[in-house]
Amino acid sequence: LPGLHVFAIAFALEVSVGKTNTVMALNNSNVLLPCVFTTCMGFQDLVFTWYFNSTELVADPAALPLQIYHGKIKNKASEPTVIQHNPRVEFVGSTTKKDNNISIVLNNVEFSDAGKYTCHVKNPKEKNAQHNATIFLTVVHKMVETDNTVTLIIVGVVGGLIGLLILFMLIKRVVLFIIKKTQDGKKECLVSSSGNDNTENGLAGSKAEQKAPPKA
Amino acid sequence: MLVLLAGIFVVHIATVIMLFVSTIANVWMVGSYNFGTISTGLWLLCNKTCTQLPVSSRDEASLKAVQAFMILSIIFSVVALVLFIIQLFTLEKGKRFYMTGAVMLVCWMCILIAVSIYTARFTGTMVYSTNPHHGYCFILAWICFCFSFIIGILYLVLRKK
Repeated sequence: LPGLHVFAIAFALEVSVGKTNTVMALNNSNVLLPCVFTTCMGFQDLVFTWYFNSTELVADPAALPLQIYHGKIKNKASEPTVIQHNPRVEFVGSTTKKDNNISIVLNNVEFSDAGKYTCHVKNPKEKNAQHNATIFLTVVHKMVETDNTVTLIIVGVVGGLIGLLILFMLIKRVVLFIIKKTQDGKKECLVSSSGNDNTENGLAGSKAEQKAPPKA
Repeated sequence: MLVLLAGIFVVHIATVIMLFVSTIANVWMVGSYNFGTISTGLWLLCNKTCTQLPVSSRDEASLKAVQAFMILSIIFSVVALVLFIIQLFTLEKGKRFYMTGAVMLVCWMCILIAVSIYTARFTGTMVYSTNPHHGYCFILAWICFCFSFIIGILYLVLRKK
């Protein structure tokens, strides 16, 4: 069944550039372009290429996409061998460890280096299955810190109100507790002066009560 | 009394929705310029497409304060709504909705602060346009100001049936 066959190829080899596909770099710094590939069946004589497609105006549009790194990996036990690479590009990945990392570092980025970087992988063992992933690189003059005054104001007010609420509850408890304590003291006096002594049986107390109203 | 409580609940929900619309839509001030109408809000400046709101450096802190307090008012009005529903089921008969009323009055304070700062700082002139006038979000915010005060006081006064 040809449909199932295509489905199997499409999902067997996968290339990923991490969680986000945008990278921001400072002018004249070195930037890491990450790329990892996974295979179901393992790989043999796998060929990977990094392409660059500029978003700025270039002198020679026909030369794009530019191949900036081309390498070959024999199998899982060996590291990649480079076939062709741009002198400013450095390979920093490793395929002998747990994940197949084929990331590169671009040294001394300039503003003309901004654009689309594609990591392309072809696996002959999976009937020449191919897959690629893209990173968008932007080069900035200065890294600006994100401004979070609005968040700070909101968190401050909400936190302050919750704190005030807790303080109010605590003070209410403490005040009520103090009032109850002082009230208990006054009640002791009331019990002894009314003559209603609970240690005797009830008759003595009721007699005392009957005697009290006529006097009042 | 039950009808009054239901009515207040409906007005409360309407206040929450109006607060959301007022904070999110960018139509606080509307003006006209040579190609059409332009509107600004708390976040963006829009005619056909929206771009960053241009704000002078001395007004930056005021704009951040307005944004923060509008968001706080939304938070408190939603909390008051949830508290009202909780208190409806847990309060004893004859007691008042103190907590809901208190939170609603805090929401009223937040709206007061936000719209006062906006009216003082941002309603004079508007960039890029002539004939600036107030947009519907500004009006909605002031309506929510009145409603939240009335609802807060009513929650403090009404007793649970």
